[in-house]
Amino acid sequence: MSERNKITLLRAGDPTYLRSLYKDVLPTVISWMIRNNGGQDDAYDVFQDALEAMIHKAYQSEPGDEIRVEGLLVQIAKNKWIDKLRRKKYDDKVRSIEVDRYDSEYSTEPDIIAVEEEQQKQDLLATTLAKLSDKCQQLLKMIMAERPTEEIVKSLDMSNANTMYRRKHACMKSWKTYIDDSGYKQL
Amino acid sequence: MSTEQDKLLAYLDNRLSDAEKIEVENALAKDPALATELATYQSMNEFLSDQNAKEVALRNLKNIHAEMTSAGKSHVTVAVPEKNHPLANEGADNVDSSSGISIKSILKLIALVIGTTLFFYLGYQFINKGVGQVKPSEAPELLYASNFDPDDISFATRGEAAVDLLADAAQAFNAKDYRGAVEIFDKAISAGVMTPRATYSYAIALIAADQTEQGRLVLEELTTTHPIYKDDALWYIAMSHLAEGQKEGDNLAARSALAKISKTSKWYKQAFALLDDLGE
Repeated sequence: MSERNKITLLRAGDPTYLRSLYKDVLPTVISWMIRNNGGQDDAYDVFQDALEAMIHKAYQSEPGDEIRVEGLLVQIAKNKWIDKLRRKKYDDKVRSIEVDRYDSEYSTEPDIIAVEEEQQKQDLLATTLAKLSDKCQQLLKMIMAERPTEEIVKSLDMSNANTMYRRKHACMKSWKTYIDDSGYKQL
Repeated sequence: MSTEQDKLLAYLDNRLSDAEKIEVENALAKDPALATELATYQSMNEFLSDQNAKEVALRNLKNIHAEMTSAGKSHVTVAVPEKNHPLANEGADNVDSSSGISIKSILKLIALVIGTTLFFYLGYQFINKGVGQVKPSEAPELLYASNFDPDDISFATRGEAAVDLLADAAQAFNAKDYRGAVEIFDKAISAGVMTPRATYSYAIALIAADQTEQGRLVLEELTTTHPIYKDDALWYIAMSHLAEGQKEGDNLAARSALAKISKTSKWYKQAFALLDDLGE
């Protein structure tokens, strides 16, 4: 299967493909985790986190991008485990793993950085969206869910489509203010 | 500034005249800061439009994770953590090393059994108290035929080639070629271009194409991922049960779904009338 097809399946969250990743890639992560102060439960957790990051990444990838899904997935899982240890201040254990971190078949470092930056960006967009009023969120969600204009106007008690767009723009501008205040441009 | 932002948003919504579009595009070419503003709004729009499909993908991941975790524990040897495991308090020490089953998993299983039992008990109580005894009624298949009348569908184009699939699916759907629509929606799923509205239409097409159980599963998923579709989904879940009306008990299931439709829904009056047709 081509890497492009794999990205498409990741974007769709295709159950068969996800199962195949658990079957084929997770054992590598479990084996590495056991050698690096972790266990099977930890491996399942970081693997899920890594897959979630890959799904976010899949939405940002362009047709020409070269992403080797399985290799990158393992590296992201390792990275997440190292970060988890670091957060718990087990620096001595982290140092012993750091060597292994960059000792892979091919350098995935730029890809890992891109995936992590994308996840940060998505998290920021989600967090700032949540700061909007319930009505704003409801309006934007209804528009994004492609509900018919007449239905949105009626259910949100608006006078017409022009009012709906005016309110949408007001909501988008408020959202952007929160984003700008959160340092989005630095990402 | 406010006017400029409004113009950018109207530009992205494709609500400007040709002359206004050219005006905005000229301004964007001259002003890099304005172009950055537009890029941010584009990212926000993309975030909103991707969110639907992404939510479905992440939900699938959550389900597969639960499935694989549970399956994995039954045949994969659990690595008993070392004594100096740094995250020993985060769950690894909850493993019963003799059986390989974590205490957390057992508690989850018990909660699941209690929850499921309670759900069916309360559902049974609700149907009996809230809706009453089922009275002899018209054949469910006839009620299905007289109530199943989906509106025509259409999908906004976004200039992406893959979205043509949705336009093709809508064409088949509106021509009542539901099997054809299902085939095209399946391709759209593989291409990752489904939207919530497309998923909803896909479920209706599945029901109309006699794949009622699969259609119902899609609708049940939709009520969780996109509560905005809850009442619509309940209506068609009821339709799916009526379509299978020859099976004993489906009348009750249809009534249960109809009884949950909210009063503010466009389906409420029709659901109320249908409940009356199905029994008291």
